[in-house]
Amino acid sequence: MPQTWNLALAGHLLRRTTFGFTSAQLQQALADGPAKTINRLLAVPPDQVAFEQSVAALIPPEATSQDSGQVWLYRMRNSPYPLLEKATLFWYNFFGVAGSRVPQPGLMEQHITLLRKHALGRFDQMLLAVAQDPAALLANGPPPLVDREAFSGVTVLRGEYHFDPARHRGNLSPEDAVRKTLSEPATAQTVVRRVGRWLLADATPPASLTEAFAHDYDIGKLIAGILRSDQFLDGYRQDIKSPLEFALNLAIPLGVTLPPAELQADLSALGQRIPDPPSRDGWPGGRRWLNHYTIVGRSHLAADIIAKAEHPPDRQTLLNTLIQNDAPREVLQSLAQLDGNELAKAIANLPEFQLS
Amino acid sequence: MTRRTFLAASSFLARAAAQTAVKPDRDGAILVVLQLAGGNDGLNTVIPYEDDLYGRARTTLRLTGNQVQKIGSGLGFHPELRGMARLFNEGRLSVVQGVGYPNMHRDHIIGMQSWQTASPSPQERTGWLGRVADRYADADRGNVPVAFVGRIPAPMAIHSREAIVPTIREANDWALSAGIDPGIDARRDTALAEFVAHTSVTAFSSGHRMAGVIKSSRTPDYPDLPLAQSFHTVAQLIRADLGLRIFLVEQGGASPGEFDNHANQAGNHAVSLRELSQSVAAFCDDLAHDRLLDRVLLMTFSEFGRTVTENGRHGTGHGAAAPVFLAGGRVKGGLIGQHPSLADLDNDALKPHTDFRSVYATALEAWLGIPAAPILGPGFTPIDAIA
Repeated sequence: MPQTWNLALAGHLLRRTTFGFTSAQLQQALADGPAKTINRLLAVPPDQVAFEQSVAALIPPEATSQDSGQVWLYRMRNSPYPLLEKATLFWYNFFGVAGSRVPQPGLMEQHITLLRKHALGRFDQMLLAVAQDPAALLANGPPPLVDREAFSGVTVLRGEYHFDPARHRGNLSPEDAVRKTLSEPATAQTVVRRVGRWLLADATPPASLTEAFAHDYDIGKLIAGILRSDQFLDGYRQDIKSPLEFALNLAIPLGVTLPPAELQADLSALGQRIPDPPSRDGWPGGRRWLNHYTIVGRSHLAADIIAKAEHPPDRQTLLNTLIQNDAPREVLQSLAQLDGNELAKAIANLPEFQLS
Repeated sequence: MTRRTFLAASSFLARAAAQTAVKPDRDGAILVVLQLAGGNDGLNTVIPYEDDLYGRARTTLRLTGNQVQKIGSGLGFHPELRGMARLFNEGRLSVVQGVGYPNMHRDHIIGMQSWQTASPSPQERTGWLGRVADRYADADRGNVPVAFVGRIPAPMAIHSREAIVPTIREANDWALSAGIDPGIDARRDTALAEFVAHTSVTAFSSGHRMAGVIKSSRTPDYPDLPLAQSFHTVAQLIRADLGLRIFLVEQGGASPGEFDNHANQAGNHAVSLRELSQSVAAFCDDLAHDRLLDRVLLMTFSEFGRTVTENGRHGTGHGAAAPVFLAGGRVKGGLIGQHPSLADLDNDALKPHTDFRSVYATALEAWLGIPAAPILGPGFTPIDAIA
C-alpha cells in the first residue's frame, strides 16, 4: 500500500473515525491531508450544540432501552461530530451493558449519556462514573478490571445507586477500588489494546502511547496519537465492517435516511442488537460478523438502502466514495458495464466494501 | 461416551466443517425444536381419561373416553390432535411423559428462561441452542448450524456469545435471485479479503440455491396457520441444504403466549392444539413425501404444565410437569415413562420424573451425535427414544 496520502488512505481514516462519509467529505479530507483532517475530526464542531438540542427533543421522557437505541442510531446517522459517537459506541461495547437486562426506563439513556460525556475525555473519570452507574451495575455488576468484592455493599434501588458501608465486606470502597484499578499497569494496557483493536485492527499501538495514557488517562489524546502513528496505515482493510457500519457507509454517501426502528430491526437480524451486545465482552466482531446468512442479509439490506436513494451519484463518484476505486483490476473491469443503482448494489456485495 | 457416539460426534464436526457448496451432505441429522408459549396444559393434551381424579379436578374442562383420540394405557390425545394421533399410530411420534425439573418455576419469564438457557444460573445470557451455535459454527467458512424461524424477537434459546444465529421470517430472507455478482470471485491479496471473498461466494450460491428451492418445489399441503407456515419455511430451508442442523420454531407468540389459558380454556386450547396438530402433521407428511423425515427429529416444549384443578373461570393456573412430543422418521414411537400420578401432587401440579435436560441430551447425543455435557453441564443421560 502506498504511504503517500491518497484517496484510499483518506477513506481509511474516515471509515475508522465516522459511520460514513459523503463524496464531498472524502474529497475535503484528500485535499486537507491527514494532519488537518485528524484535527477536524477531534474538534467539537460549531453546530454540535444545536444538534444536541435537536436530539434532546427526540428522547421520550421514560425512554426504554430500545427507544434509546433508536435515538442513538439517529445520532450516528446525523451527528456533525461522528468521532464522538463512534467513541461512545466503542466504550459502550467495552463495558458491554445489555439493554435487555436494564428494563427500568431512562437508565440506558443515562448510561449512554454518561459514556458520551467521557468518550473523548478522561478514562479515570469515566471508570468512576460507570462504577456508580445503575444500568451498568444492574446488567453486569462492577465494571471490568475492578475488584468485585469492593462492591459488596452496593445496591441499586429504583434506578439509584446506594453504597452501604455496614453491609460492605471487602477491604476497599468502590471509589478506592477504582483508584487501585487505575494504578495497575494492566488497566492502561488493556484500554490501549482495545482502542488499538478499534482503530488499528491487528496492529499494536506504539508503546509510548500506553505510557502516556497510564499517566493522564486522556482518551482523546490516545486516539489522536494512534491516528497519527505509522501503524494506523497498516490497518487498511484489516477489519470487517459491523452491520451498523455496513448500513451507514451506504446510507450516508447515498443521502438516504433510514427510519431508526427499521434500522434497529435490520441490524439485529445481522447480529448487532443496539443497545444489547451478547455478553459483557461486547460484540465479538471481525470475521464473526460474516456467515452465509448475514452475507445474504447484508445484500438484501444494501438493496433496500440503495432503492431509497433518490439521486444515485455518477459511476466514478460511487466507485470513489464506496471503495475509493481500490479493487483488483479484474474486479473493476467486471463493473465496467454497470451504472446507477445496479453499480451501487454490485459494489456493496464486493469483499472490498465489507472490509474496513 | 461410547465409541459410536464418539464417531457420530466427529462426523458431525467433519460435516459441519466440510459444509460448503461443493458437496451438499444429504444424510445429516436435523433437529427441529418447537416452543409452545404460555404453558401448555399437558393434562388436557395427553389425557388420563379413565382416572377418576382427573374427572373430579376438571369439572368443566374434562374430556371423556368418547371424546379423546385413544392411544392405549388409559390415555388419549385431545380430540383436536387428530393428525398427531395418526402419527402416533404410525410409530412416528412418541410422548415423553412427566417432563420438568426440580422445583419448577411457575413464572412465565423465569420458567421460559429455565427451559431456554438450560442453566440453573439466572445470570446466564446464552441459550442452549446458542451454545451449540458457538461450539459448532465454523467462523472460517461462514457456516452456522442453528436458526430461529418465526416472526417474534429471537427467543433466548438461540442467544449466543459469538456466533450470529439467523432469525428467518420466511425462506425469501435467505434467497438471492441473481447469481454471484461480478467481481466477487476474483483473487484477493490479503488473507482477510480472501476469507470474505470465499465466504461471499458460498453465501451467494446458498442464496441462489434457496431461490431455486422456492421456485421449483411442488406446493405442499400446509394449512394457512402461522405455525404451519413456519414449518413450511423450515422444510424449504432443509431442502436448500444451507448447512443448518437445528431449527427453533414457536407457536403462541411472545410472552406470556397463547397457551396461557387462565379462563375459558376449552375453546382456546382446542384452537391452539388444532393448529399444533395440523401443522406438525403437514410438516411430517411433506418431509416424508421427499424421504426427508428420517433425517428429522421434532421436539416440543413449553415452560410448564397447568394446575390439575381447574379454577372458577373455566381455566387453569401455572403448573409443573407436562409431556414432550418427539416426532420423526426414526423415533421409537409410543409412550415413554409413566403418566405422572394425580394422587401425588406438588401444590396442585403434576410432579416431573424426567428432567428436560435428559430430553435435550437425547436430541443432542442420541440424535445429532454431539456430546451434551459441554452444552447442558454434566449428568444428563439421553433417554431411550431413538430407533
